[in-house]
Amino acid sequence: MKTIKEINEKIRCGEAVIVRADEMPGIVEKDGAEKAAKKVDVVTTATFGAMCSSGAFLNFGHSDPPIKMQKVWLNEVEAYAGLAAVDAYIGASQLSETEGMSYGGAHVIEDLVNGKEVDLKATAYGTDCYPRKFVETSVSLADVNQAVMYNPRNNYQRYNAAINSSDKIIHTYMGTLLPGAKNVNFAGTGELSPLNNDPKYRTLGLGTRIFLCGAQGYIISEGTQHSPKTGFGNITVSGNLKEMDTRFLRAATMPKYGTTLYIGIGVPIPILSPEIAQATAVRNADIETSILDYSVPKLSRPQVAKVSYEELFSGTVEVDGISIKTAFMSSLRITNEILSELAHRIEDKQFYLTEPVVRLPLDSECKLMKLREKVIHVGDVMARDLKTAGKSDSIDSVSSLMIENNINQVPITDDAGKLCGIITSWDITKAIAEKKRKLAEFMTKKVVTSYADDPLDVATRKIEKHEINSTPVVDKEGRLTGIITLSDITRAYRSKGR
Amino acid sequence: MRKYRLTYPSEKLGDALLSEAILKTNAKVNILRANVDYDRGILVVSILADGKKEKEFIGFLEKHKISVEELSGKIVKDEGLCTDCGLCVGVCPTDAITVEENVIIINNDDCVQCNACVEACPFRAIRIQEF
Repeated sequence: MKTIKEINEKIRCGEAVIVRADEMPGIVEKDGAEKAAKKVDVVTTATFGAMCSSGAFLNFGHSDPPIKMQKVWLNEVEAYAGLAAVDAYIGASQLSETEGMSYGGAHVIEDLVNGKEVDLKATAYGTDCYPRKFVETSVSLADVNQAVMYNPRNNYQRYNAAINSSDKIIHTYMGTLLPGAKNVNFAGTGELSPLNNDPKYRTLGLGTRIFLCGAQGYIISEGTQHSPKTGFGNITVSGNLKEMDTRFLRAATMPKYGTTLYIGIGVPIPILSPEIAQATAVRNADIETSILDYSVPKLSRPQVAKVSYEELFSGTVEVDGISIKTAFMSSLRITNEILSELAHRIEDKQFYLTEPVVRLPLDSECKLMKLREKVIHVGDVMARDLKTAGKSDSIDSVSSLMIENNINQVPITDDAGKLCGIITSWDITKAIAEKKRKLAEFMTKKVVTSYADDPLDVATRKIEKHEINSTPVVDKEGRLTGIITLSDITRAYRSKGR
Repeated sequence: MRKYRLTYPSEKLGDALLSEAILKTNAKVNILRANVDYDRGILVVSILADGKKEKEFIGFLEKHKISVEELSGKIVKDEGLCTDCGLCVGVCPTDAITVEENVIIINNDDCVQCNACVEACPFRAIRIQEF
């Protein structure tokens, strides 16, 4: 058994043996954990990836006359100012009120770290001690008193990989997912990832010194939604934004999803015992994760396959006998740069290890939100009394059907009751203009459908996204069971007071 | 091997002009990408034939009001902006983007300039550079 004090003494004397996490499996295999624990002092681990739950506290200093900021914007991105007078928290995923998704809190943070000035605007209600109601100026990192990165949920030890089995492209926080299960996107650095190398948190906890985007940062506590029992542990980290470097901190926009911050974290694991040495010998092949179908817009997404990080990193994975391309969302190039930077800093005696004051909990679980009201499903609201037509019906009969029943769309079904198209009143107008008479010629064949057990919010999102007025409801066999229109949705929400 | 973007006006969309051009000139043609919209159709093709046949082939299409332009641009990544994450790799339909030693490599010979990588990049690090 070694102590952190002894390892620090070795660092001071320039004698510490530092090894990368991916070199440990070989060392432990060759020498055994016992010998490896004597030989190796520090194992470096790192990751560089998208971490949306990131942001920074800024203290702007008082203006004269002073203001108690109630609302604050930095480059038109709102920061939270419900903290005394001139403190604010800028969150990475908040979007610009003028630029939308192309610029967000992450970009404000990146601009600040790059030494740029950002526009500060604040409003207030005015008090006897803080009479000013408005301020507009520009600030840089040099101008603010403190700029402290504080990221509530970073550095997940693993993450679910994402696939899209639907027939439409989707844009997610896991990047762009092509229809028809054409790509699998995954995140996390596997055997290099800090928490995978110390899954029992023997060396990790409050006060563990880490490399955070170029600065010396610290683990503050377990991250929000920390779920070690399921292999989804994560940490809250903090560090001085003024010491950070944009080589290890980058703003990003996930297309049509929103902004996020790529964070670089390096964690030195002190090898205090054979058990710790053994834990750092983890390989990509040992670390499993699930490929989930992100086309299902519910919290419990169906698992398509279970795979190891070794398979994910190989460039393709097999799902139901079909080979699918994988794409890594994090960066191994920058992860490697962090590993060498961290090792250099330890060798140069600029970085010493710390003992955690409180270790990360091993037993916490992540709960779901308790909802006060029952979730409305499509089946609760849809019309079941359907007017339908067949492909061979005439345009005249479909038009009369619409007029007689005061409806704007008629689903078209085949003999087995399966949905094969839809005709709207607009389709009829267009067909008349283009002198088309056969329903099969002008009906919309690629119909956006819903299931009766879809939450109403999911159907609403579909209707908004595709700019349509209704979606037919089908069962798993594709048989038509109902239809839900925009007015059904409005009525349902109105009765709930939304 | 050169790549061309063929733009069909809407009134030519129903005609089998590509087949006719192939039969007439005996040029081997590889269709790399096809998009049909309400107002036009776009085909990206590579022509595997000698200069004479290639010229005849293009001449035939142009005679039938199809605009033919050589794909002269190329996909480039901005080294300063790119983090070498692989999100562009997954969306590339022709596998023209690969990762070698943790670095993203774009192979323009295989690229059909569909713009998928440009749109998928979270760092706006990829663009089509026109010459």
